[in-house]
Amino acid sequence: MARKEQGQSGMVKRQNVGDYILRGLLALWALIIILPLIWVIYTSLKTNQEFFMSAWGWPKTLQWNNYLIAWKELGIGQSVLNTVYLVVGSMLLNTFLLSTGCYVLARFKFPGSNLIYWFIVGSYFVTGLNTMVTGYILMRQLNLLNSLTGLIAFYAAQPLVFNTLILTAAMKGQPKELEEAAYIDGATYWQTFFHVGLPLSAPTLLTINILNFMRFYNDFLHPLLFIRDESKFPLSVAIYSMSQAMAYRSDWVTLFAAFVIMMIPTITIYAVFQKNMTNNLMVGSLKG
Amino acid sequence: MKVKEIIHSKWFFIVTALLPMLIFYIIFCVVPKITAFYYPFTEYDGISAPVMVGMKNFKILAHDFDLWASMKNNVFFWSITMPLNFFIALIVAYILSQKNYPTANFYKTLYYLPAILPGVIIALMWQFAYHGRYGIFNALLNLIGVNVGEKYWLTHDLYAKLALILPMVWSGWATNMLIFMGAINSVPVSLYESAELDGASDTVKLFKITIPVIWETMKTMIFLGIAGLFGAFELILIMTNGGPAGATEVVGTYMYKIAFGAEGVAAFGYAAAIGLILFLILSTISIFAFRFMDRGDAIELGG
Repeated sequence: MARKEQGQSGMVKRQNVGDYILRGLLALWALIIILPLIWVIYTSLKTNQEFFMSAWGWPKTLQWNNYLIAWKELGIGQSVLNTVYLVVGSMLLNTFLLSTGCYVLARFKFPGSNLIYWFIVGSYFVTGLNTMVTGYILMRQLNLLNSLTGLIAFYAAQPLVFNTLILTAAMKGQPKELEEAAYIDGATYWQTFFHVGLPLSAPTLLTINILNFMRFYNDFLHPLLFIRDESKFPLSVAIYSMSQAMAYRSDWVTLFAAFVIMMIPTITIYAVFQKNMTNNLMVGSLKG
Repeated sequence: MKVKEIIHSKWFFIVTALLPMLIFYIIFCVVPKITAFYYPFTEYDGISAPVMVGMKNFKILAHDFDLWASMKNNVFFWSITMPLNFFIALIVAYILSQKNYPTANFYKTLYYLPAILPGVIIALMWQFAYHGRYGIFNALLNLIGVNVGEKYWLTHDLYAKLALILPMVWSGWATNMLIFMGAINSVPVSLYESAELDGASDTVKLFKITIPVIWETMKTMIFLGIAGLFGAFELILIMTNGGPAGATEVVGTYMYKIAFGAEGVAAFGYAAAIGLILFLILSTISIFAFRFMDRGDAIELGG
């Protein structure tokens, strides 16, 4: 804070040509970054005729109808339902597996507890493309292909490694007194977990679930590999297959409306939870 | 009475609370990693049972020209995007953290936005942006006076390769920016203050103070950047699917086609062999880099 004040008082004096150039460059860079998104948004509000005439021209009247068409005719509505089921289911299952497991790892010492912790956290660096094929074979052998519930089971397990690292550390830092008091009052271990241990770790679970949401909602590869029936497609794959069909019908504006529909939840979550997501430690996990 | 005692015992809790996580972790995370060492030595079409064939897949792989060409493309994309992502992020992070412009937080939020968007939207959006007649890219070039006509960027082999770099950087650099900002903000203020008293310029401060102090973070990021060698696979799969004529084929798309491609029988054994090679290459480079950089705290940053 000291630096900020010092800097701001100094800024008045030092605001020179260089600063204006730098600030101009920052603004230009922002414009370049935002431009493709702006393009998609305003194209989604044009008619196809307007769009084919000029990339820059503004729509005469805003065609909100495009969104209705995308929702109904392109079948976005069904995909949204599939996505809600998939994402919410995966988040709940991951949270359940994670919070119970990490609570044990954080609070109870028993022979092998450390070993189990490292068994999970240790494979942190062993990730990547090399399990694309074997993951598919596994799902096939388990008869979980072409099933959203199967994908939920798969998803729920994927972020366990990183999330265990975060949540176990957070739970170890929680005060033990409340739990001890609960035991003295005769609460069982499960009761203590649900009424004391779990609520205390809510802030960490919130951050974890924001990241989980982004991970599950944005994923494209796994539904592409695992889901066959169009009626079960989540948004990411549904929009991809729509754009493939664009080769036969050039209805760009409706497709762009679908793009915007898919971006709305992501951007909303980002706008609301920006602080949780730009936190240094969390950035590492998004990158992985 | 006895049953109740067991149910309320500490051991019962430990087992029932820990087992679900362990079971899911073992089935869906550990098993694919272990079988990744088994299927490469088999011939497996997904229908009949896998047949052990020893080193056969690796012998084919050694002479698979397409595979090594796609690996070269990985190196091409990586060697351009990684430095770009790194240096743009460093410069922007330095300006945003040091200048105290009132708009700094707004820019940080906006710059990071592409990094959180769904990959499929990023890829499709850029695919349409490069459309020869209706795409915004040519329209933008026209606007600044460069007339390229109806150039379809993704259908020409060299242009397609170059065109893919833009969305890679667009969606990739800001993650580095956030990490850099975190590191730069941890630089002691007193260092800058005494340098300012000596009349140091911004460039001097960047090279003499900021970079030396965040050097460790930078090394860690280079280390983590290595893992990106085989990245951007989804983007390429959607935007060009390796085309035109294999010009943008990367190992990921190549492996995907062999395992799940429409034509012919799925060659899971061979695709898994490619996966194993990827794993071995990445591990070797990582261990090498790790020892070279003498790093212990890479784990803290995550990746």
